[in-house]
Amino acid sequence: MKSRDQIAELVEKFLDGRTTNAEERELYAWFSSAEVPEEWCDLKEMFVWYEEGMPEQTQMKQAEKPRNKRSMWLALGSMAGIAASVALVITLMPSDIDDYVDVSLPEHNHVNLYEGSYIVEQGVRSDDLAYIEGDIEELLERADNLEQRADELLAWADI
Amino acid sequence: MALLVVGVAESSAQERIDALLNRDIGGVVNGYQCTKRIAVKRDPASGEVVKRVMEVVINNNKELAKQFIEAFKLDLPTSDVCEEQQRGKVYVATAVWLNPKRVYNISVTGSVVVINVQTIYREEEK
Repeated sequence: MKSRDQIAELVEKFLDGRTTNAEERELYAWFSSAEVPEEWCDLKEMFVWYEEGMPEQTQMKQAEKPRNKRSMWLALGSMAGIAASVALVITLMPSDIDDYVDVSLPEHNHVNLYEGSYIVEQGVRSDDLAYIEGDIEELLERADNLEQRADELLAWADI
Repeated sequence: MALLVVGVAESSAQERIDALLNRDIGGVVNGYQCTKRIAVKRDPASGEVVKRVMEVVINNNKELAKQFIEAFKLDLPTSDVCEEQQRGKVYVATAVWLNPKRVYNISVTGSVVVINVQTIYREEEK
């Protein structure tokens, strides 16, 4: 169990944004307990709000708080509003979000999985991947089956 | 003759099969039908080649079918593990060489030959 001084240090660290996840969890747990001194009630409220996942109603509570609250706490109240707005937008978005948002990688990062594949049929070579992709996928599937058989042989031979 | 046997045993991996595969065996100009497919599979993140597969299908060429069977029979002993089956006009063999892992498979039914060769450069997560 950490002493009050240690907790005070952690709180300062927290407000400076230097705490680790473990330390933050420790703070949440400590402030969730019933032993929090009365003068730290505001901090308790803040950490409980954090622990509960920053619910939207806290924004209302924040407005009722005295003006001498730490600026960090006020900033967090604003962040809660932003988070709530983002959550609302996400909720209102259609489930097939991919149709509305381009989530593909930039062109220069694009890797064609089958680049270098080709087919020669009756002496005519085709390397148009859009055209031969189906054939290539079938071939790779057959190859996977053969590889599986090969793995069985290797296992039997204990290699 | 004994030296020849030793020579076969010490031959490098699947060289006879590769020699046949690397011949220009494509096209109707040679009097038979042939399809050669090369599939390259890459890692989506890095783009590096994970696996390379070659499949050759030859129709209506009993002579070439015979040559491939002979090549497989001679190269199989150099493999790390193999299996071979022959039933009448059907011959099937699979051989595996390691480092890197190469899987060679042949299936011959009469004058139809299907050879599947793959080199696995990096194991994929199954």
